[in-house]
Amino acid sequence: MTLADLAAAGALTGGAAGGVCFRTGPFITRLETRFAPVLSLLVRFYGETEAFTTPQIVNFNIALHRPLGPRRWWRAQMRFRIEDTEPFEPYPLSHSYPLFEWGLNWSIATRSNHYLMLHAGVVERAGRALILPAVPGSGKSTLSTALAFRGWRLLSDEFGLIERPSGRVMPLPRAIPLKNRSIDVIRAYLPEAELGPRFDKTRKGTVCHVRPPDDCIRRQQETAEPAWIVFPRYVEGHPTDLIPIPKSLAFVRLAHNSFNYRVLGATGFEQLRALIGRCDCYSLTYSEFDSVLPALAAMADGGRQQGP
Amino acid sequence: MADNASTQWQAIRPELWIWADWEADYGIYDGGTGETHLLSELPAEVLRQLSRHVMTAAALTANLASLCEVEMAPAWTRKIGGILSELADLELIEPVRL
Repeated sequence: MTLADLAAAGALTGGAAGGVCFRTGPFITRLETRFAPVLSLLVRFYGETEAFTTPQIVNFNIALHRPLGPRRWWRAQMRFRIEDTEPFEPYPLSHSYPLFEWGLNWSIATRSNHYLMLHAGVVERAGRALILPAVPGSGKSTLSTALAFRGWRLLSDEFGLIERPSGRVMPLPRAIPLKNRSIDVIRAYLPEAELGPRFDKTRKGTVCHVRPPDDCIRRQQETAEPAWIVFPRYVEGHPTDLIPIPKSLAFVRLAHNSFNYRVLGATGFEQLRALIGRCDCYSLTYSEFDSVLPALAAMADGGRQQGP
Repeated sequence: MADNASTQWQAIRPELWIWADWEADYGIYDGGTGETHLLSELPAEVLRQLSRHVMTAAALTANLASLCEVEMAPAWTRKIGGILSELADLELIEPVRL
């Protein structure tokens, strides 16, 4: 049964008593909320995902609830709770959906140490994964979005989940939160991409989510072999430069880019060493999709190239 | 301390080190401190030698000069002394206390 099936059967209306359980990559999330706009966007973005009516072992037990008292009506707010903790200050009610997405990201990043977690976009082609680690603002999500609609399968725009002991990349496809200028860039370049509502003046600026392609949701438990690590950097007006980099440099940059490298200790080192050993490593500077997408496709189609 | 040729040096718990080897560079995870270090060839060789034997700075400097086929000039001695100091700062090696 999918989330869309549950919605069509009316199982989400009336506050989804007991919450709704649905799959997000390898995780089962239980969301309890009576706030219809959040449920509506959840179904719109993740309608094809597996949903459950029977009890499940849940990874993330999340509730979005409106506070009692004056803040229920005056400058209305929404609170995020996971288990018994509320890790964030309340958000304005109108930002409830971004709060859910960011709260789920935070929950994954802080509670999933059975994976090596890289802060990275990841896409797949012919069973092989391209990992795009980057700091916020580097264009990682925008580039991941373009790739996801131009011949690559989106595994994640935020998390590179490296499975133990296989070392394969586990998908975690989610709605892609475009920010500020990226929204218009993607609207212009990918008219076929379905964008959700704009959320203005959030804590991260204006945010608009891209609905993940159905295929990546249907195949969200299909892992991929890591093959390329590319550190992207958007520089306005810069021609596309895809340059091999030493594996030692890739290791250091990836370790800094991981959510939990230090937490994992020796295991993290061994996982990262194995990952680097399996991949060709590059730095990428770009400004235009029309040149960077063919360059990455050529890299992928060229087979394993020898790094320096 | 590092420029004292008679000082004996030893690796600190090398059994807790995990190595990564990438052509000219090396990574080392130190299970004692939880730190990861990126090393070039010469410091990596210093660690390899000291993880096998306790050695004086003079003996280590001579071994490395022979291995790298360089003359035992004062500049080379200073270079190895500097590496010993840096590795000590990283808590990978220490002078032997008698």
